[in-house]
Amino acid sequence: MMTMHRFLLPDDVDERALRSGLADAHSLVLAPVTHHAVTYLDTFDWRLHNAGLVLTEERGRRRSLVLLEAGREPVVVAVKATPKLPGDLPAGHIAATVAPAMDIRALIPVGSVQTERREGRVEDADGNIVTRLRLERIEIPAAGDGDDPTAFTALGADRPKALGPLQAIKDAAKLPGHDLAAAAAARGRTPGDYASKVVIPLEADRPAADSMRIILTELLDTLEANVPGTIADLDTEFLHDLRVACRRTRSALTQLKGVLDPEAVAPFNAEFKWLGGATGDLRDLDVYLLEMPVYRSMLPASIVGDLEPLVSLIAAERTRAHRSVAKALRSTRFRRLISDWRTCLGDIAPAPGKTAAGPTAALASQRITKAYRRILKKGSGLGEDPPAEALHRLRIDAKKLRYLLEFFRSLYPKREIAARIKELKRLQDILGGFNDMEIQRDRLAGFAETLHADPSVKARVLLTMGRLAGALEQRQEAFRLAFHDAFVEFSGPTVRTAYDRLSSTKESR
Amino acid sequence: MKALALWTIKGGVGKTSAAVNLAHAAAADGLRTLLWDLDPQGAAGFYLRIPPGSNGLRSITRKKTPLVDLVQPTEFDNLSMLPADFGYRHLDLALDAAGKPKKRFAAKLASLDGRYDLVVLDCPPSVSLVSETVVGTVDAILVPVIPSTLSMRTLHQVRAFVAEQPDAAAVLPFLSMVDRRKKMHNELGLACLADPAFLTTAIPSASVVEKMGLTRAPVAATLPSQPVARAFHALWREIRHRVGV
Repeated sequence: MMTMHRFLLPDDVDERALRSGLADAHSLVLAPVTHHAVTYLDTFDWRLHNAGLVLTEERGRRRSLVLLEAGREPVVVAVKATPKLPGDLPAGHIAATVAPAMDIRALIPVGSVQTERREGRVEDADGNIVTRLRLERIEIPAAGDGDDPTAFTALGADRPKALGPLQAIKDAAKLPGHDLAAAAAARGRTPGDYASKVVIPLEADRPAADSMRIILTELLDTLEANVPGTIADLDTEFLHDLRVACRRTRSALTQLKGVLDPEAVAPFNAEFKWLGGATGDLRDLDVYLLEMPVYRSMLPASIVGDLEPLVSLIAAERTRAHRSVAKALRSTRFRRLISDWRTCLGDIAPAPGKTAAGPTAALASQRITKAYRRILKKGSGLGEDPPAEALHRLRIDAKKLRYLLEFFRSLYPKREIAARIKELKRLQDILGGFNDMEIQRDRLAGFAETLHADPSVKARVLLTMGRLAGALEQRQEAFRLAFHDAFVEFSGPTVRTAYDRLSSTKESR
Repeated sequence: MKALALWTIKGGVGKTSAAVNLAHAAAADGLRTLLWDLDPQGAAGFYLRIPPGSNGLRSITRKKTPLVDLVQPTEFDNLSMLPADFGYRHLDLALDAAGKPKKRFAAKLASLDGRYDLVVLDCPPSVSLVSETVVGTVDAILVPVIPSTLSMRTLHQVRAFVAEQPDAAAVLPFLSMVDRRKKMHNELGLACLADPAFLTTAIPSASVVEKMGLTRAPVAATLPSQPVARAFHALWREIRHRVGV
């Protein structure tokens, strides 16, 4: 196979027309037709597409994975099963390229086509290849129930110039090197249509209430988009993104008070709180399993095997937790929440007062400044030995500021806002790490209780868990001690001036 | 990336057909494979319908002419080719004139890293500066040996030559063009396999290999169930294991 230039061949150009159109000394050699079902694979958030990779699974007489990269020959590897997780990829170039792009996300089918393919070549009088060809009838399934599938013929050639005299090629429209976009469109998707991090386009002068509705609608879309993948348990990030959208919604409702009609909003706040609670356990268990390689590395190799009963226990609890989440997401309560919230966002009235009618820029500036100052106030004076309770509260405040920066990032110069998020993230990593260790340790104590009650579990398993608890405590302590320096930087004059600048860029616009 | 050289001093022992069939087997195994024809006769290219190139000499001896620009795709998945160039007949002189041949050649080979998992070099059947250079640069030297006294004698010479080279790669001989009807082939073949350096898969003498000149394709591409196609596949798997590709 080769890097192909592809052309859309008019329906009246058949094999005979191709043959007769060639230069005199050239001849066309075409292999018999082979049938392939081609499935485009990517993560839900298009990580391969974003990395310039196109991965397909082709099923004909054999099953192969084909990796396309710009400027490179395709790589084709036979496989036994459709890969889902990075570990399923065949070792070699495909795994080395695709696995890092996927990271922790799973591959899912994002589109499929059926092809009738004839490989071939144009050769010269000496039998040498002038150009390789691929003649393909491609059928893209119907997008909706009432629609018809679309079909077209593509001619691929690695040296199309060699087809010089062929008028049909000169006139033919060029096709992209693959049919990802068309195949995805049939499934109602567009490459790049979902990303965990989106910049919500807002206008500085628009009434704040309008922008608030835009933000909340965007969050609702994200939340909804992740429901099927969470229920199907494709990977851990569907639930993660769903929860983040839920938390951001709640944060927006509390942080941006005085913008939307408080009475209309109030019942939803409670419902989103329910949703967060109903999904929290599963997320904690996911994090535990995702972190397990790190935990293993904290222990001596000789006793790492003793963690296996713990891993099995977490996996079993996770299965149970997922069942409960799936039940919640299929419930009438959840469906009603989603549909009522969408209806509400469509016709909700602004809150009375100046803020809601005032420009978005003013609201953003005021709330961001307020959130930043709150962190300064609560964080200063904690010293080099901050109490755990204070760090917990500060973590939540930092998160609130983070969400505000992200909601309104389109209103600020890109570089400015990226720098603010980066500084804040440094602080958040410490606060979040501290909190995670706390949660993991508590949870570990609970697991120990369960395992202790199981007579088949050996004592050394509990001893190893004790060592893990010790290691987690050490890490937590390291986060606690790292706080002071990070906070000094975050509350220092450079960052303070930057936040002042942020509010003034706003007003000048 | 690993580099394997098909090399021997004696011609007509199945060197080029082995290079083509082994490269094809590696490519079918999912490795991004480049077949580099260093033999100015250009037989490997003929088998794959790739006409000889030009500028090949320059791309080896000069830093600024990139080798990858001369790579041609083949009709087979994962298999590309650097076709021979009739100019390669002066490669000895050119390498000598350019100076530091081994370093120069190693740098050229290294420029293919990242694009290919495996480079198979089909070397001219002679003792020359080219062979000296290649032998000191690749990861393994695959030597086809017909179980005949003359061919065995050649293997002896090859080993003696390689032993003289600083940092020479391992020599991996394999039995080629074995005719099991011949008593001598069987006897000498058995004696060879007692040598632990020998790869254990023997390539049988087969008319379908001779017909590659007509089909102009690797055997496995046209007649995958033929014993010789299976033998090349098995030999490739053995090499893959031995060299650790």
